[in-house]
Amino acid sequence: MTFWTIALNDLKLSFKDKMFFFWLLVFPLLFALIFGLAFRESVPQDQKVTLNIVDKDKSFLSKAMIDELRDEKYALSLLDNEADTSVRALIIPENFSKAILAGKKTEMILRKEEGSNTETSQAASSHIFKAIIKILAKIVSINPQNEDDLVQKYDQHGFERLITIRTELGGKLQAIPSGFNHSIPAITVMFILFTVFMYGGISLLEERNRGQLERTYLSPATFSSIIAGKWIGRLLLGLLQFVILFAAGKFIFNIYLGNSLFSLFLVALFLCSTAAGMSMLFGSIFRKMEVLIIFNILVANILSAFGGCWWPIEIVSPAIRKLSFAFPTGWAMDAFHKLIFFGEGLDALIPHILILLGFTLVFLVLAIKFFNLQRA
Amino acid sequence: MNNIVHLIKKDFKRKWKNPVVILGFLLIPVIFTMIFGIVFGSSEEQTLPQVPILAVDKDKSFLSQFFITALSQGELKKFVSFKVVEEEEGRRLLDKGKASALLVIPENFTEDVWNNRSAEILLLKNPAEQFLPQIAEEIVDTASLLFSALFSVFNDEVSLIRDAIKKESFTDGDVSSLSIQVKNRLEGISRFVFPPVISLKQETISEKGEETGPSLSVQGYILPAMAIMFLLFICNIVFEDILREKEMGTLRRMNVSPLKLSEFIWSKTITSALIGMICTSMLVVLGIALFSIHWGNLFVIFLIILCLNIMLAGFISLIYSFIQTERQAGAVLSSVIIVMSMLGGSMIPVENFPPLVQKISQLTLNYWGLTAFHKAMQHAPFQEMAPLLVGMLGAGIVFSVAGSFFLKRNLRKGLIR
Repeated sequence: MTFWTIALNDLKLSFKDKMFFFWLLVFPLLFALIFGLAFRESVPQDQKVTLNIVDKDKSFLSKAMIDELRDEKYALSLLDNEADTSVRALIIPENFSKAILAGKKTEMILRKEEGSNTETSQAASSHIFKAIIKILAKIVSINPQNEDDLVQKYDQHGFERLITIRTELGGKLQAIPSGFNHSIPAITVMFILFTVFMYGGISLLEERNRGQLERTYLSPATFSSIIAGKWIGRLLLGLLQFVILFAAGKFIFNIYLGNSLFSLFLVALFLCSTAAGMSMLFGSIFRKMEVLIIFNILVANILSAFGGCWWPIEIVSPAIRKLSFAFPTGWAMDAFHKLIFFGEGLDALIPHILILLGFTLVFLVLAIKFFNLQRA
Repeated sequence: MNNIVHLIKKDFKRKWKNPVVILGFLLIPVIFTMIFGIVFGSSEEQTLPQVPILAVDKDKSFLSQFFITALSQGELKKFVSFKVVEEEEGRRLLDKGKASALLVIPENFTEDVWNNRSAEILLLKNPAEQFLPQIAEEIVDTASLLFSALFSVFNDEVSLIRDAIKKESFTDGDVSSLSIQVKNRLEGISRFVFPPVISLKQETISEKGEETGPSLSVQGYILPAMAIMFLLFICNIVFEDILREKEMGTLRRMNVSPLKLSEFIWSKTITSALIGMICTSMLVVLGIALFSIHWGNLFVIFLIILCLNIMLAGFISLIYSFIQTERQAGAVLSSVIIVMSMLGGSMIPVENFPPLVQKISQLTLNYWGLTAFHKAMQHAPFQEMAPLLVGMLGAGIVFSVAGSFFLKRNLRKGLIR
């Protein structure tokens, strides 16, 4: 069991680094928090959308428009002065009512402050658009000849929606995924790569440069046990990152982990085994520490970006979505989504596991081919 | 002063001989920008992919088919792609994540709507997606509102037809009176609806109430954002030499020469700022050449590069005055840079954060630098740029003076010890 001793020793050496826990716990959680907050629900249930209204017309129709905009999700405030508007404001122009009744075009302005939340602004504009539809439907039904005619008949023409929409979530689960449900798996995949690449690759290069690898080979340890030990050590490092982040996700951010913890662990195991193989390969082919660090940063980020860890994969084009499956991160993210959001079991993950196993074998074979005990 | 110039020359020579790290850190923002360009395109208007929606028509009637067809016509075609499927297949595909939403039109849809009874459409959303299902919901909800509005407007005419169908008698008189009624209704409608008399214009204004300039491209956002983050790492590389020289004993040797410790420290700050300026200028040129980024007025950009790098170099010098070893530097600096970059908009646009975090963002160097670049790109007037430039320069001078003072004191303590 020499390989086991080597693996545990590598893990022990990582623990000795003061920064290790920052990389393993503090940074990823901070990332998860920031990403979770940034990509939270566009309009959170408990948060009202601010909408200031400047009614320059103060007519019956402008008031009717304001009434249509009243909704529990919106915090409306009526302002007298256009200059007082902040965040976002709807400006109802002068002669709004007159123009409508004369069949002339009138333009309301939705003014957004630079830096105001884009999603909430879109929600507000959609809300205003729907209010316009309702107002126009009533006006058209009445077909008023003048304002008095409109005022008299307006309330008699109620507008009821004939067609309503009920929304539900697909999949086997009915849990509502929060921003953290999205950010924790993504951050976990990204930091598994960072931790394993950085600690795994750098320590291998350092050991080779210091002659420690060669010395290990002079001990009863065989070449294969050194390879196995190094690979398992890095694999355990990645798994530790996974366990810490998912546990923090569960207990700090209260994320939903799906029906099968075992399946989650299995996906992480195969992703970590791929990352372990890659870190050994990188640690073997590079001779200069600074080049290895920069290469690790680049590869970890490219894999994370294209795999869907940086942004929700849904917002990219179908071609990039397909491209994500060229990377182990894309398969891991897809597997996590299937488990966490769709409540799938192990049977749905067979292709993912087989492909991650394939990636592992490829990188491990390459790592063995380039593995060198001596400094070049 | 001569000594400082000599030291700067020496540092430049050393960095020139081994430029891998600096070039590597320079390359990272370019590659990141490339990735974003590949993924999100170079358009200045951010576009989302088409929203894939599956539709199940359990009614298979005139109105249900009309509803689905209406959702995939005209402008909507650009935003959504509809595929009609059987319910089982639709649910299977949604569960596989192959669509953003599944629309289920219930049985008796036409009958209910026709008879003025409410009908409920079911929209199943992909739980693994955050944004596209919401767009799908908005589109379907708006369409159903328009349908409802249409039936509300033509309620009298629909009632006439309904009654006639019930009576199973439709005389020529009925047809002609209905035709006249519909014609009158359409004339009434056209006054208000073709084109709609109420429209909504959207505009974005700056905090001062002026309309903002052109919107930024994806690359125009990412390149400066990432550049500031990696410029901090590049500044760090220059200052690392202080600790290295201290650990190797060369600093002690320098201390017994006529060279003053303050000269040594200022040379590092100036070298760091100069290297930062060269790197930023290279990134600006690469931004133009590779990504066609419109940086705005190049003189203003030069001023930003100058003030920004003085601020960054000063900041790193101040941090170094509290650091004892190279290992500590790696730990503290990477933590400070990453956290500051995360909060300052180098990774995620600040406007995506909740208000409290947005306030904290304003305390970061990344925020200041990034805001300055964005304002320049949006052709902000110089009066608007001036406070940012003065702020960065002022902060840079204060940081550098404080950094020089504390670093000198701490280095001297370390050397005596």
